[in-house]
Amino acid sequence: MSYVRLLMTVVGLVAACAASAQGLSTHGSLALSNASAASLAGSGYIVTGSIEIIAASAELTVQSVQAAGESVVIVLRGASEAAVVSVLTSAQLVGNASVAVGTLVQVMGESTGYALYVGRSLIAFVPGNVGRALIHQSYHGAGWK
Amino acid sequence: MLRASVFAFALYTGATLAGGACSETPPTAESVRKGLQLALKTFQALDASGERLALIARVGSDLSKHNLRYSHMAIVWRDHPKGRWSVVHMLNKCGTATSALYDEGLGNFFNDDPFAYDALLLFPGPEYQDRLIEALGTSLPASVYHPGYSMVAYPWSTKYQNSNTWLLEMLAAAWAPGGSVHNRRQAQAWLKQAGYQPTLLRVGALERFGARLFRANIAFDDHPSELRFSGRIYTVTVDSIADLVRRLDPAARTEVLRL
Repeated sequence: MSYVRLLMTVVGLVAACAASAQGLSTHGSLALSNASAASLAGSGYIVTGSIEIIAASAELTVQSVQAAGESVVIVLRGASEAAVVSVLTSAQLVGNASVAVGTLVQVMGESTGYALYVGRSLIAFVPGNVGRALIHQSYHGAGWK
Repeated sequence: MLRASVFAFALYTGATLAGGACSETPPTAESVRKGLQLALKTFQALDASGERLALIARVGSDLSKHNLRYSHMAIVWRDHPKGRWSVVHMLNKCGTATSALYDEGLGNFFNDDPFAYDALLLFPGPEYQDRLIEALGTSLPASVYHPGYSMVAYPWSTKYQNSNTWLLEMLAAAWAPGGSVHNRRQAQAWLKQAGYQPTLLRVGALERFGARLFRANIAFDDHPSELRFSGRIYTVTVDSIADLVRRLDPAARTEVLRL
């Protein structure tokens, strides 16, 4: 993995930490106005490759699984040997589904993205065009025209 | 997406320095999927409404102990410069004692580790919508914003603010006659005369002590002593904001969405 890609992975992982930060800070009877600055980068984040590979496939094959703290990057190969996409997702989900090299991953298209299954286990959800259009975050007023 | 990641990285770093309690568990695939499903359902309901703006609330945590359902309220605006039906709200930074104002997509709004995938839409009448839209494009959102955050901020103090307090004071700034509200004190004065009633919570001494000790984003020292030490905590809730909106505008309409 190149330095740039590794950096992207690490940044994605740290984003995952920020995304779930409010989990601890608001689940309590005093969590009256819970709101944290969240990002969706922690699950279904495409580290390298194109979503078109997922969109065009009913089934993908796991080429590698790279551990990265609480998350993993699973590298998936489409029907063509050259078509590879890597997706960041939860290490626990991948571990529970016993994902390893050669595991077949089913792709289910939904209105907001693509659900990746191993057997009956959902291991990642990759937002599609509709889903991605619903995801953005910036400081209020920044870049307003 | 990378920009969003870098942005989140900056937030995380800041939170760590401030000693916030942050989970290191990434969001699950199912939570991302459900959050986006509710976001799309809400987007479609908003489009179908024919309205230009709504107040939107989510269920961030289980508040049934206090007979409350929704925890957090924001403004969702059809013609938002950052994208159709984007949200404007205040967010706490990762459990710290600070916050910021954000523009966000509905996908982000419903992916903050919610307790339930429900949404409340509250549509004020056209005149109220127009005045709020106009105010969003001015300096008023910043004028009634305060970065010192407490989850249970006292509504009649300017020491702290939480997300719902900012929204309530933003409504005051937008809706007070003649542009008479330019800061938090003026907003609170207008809210009092408009009949706003905060929600009373019963919070035991042990719970107060634990919250203050272990959470950077909860403080009680803005509450009057006689209330605080008797466990009577008044604060701004979604319910109390909705009550005010309906009092000001009896024609305001609500819609509940569930997955």
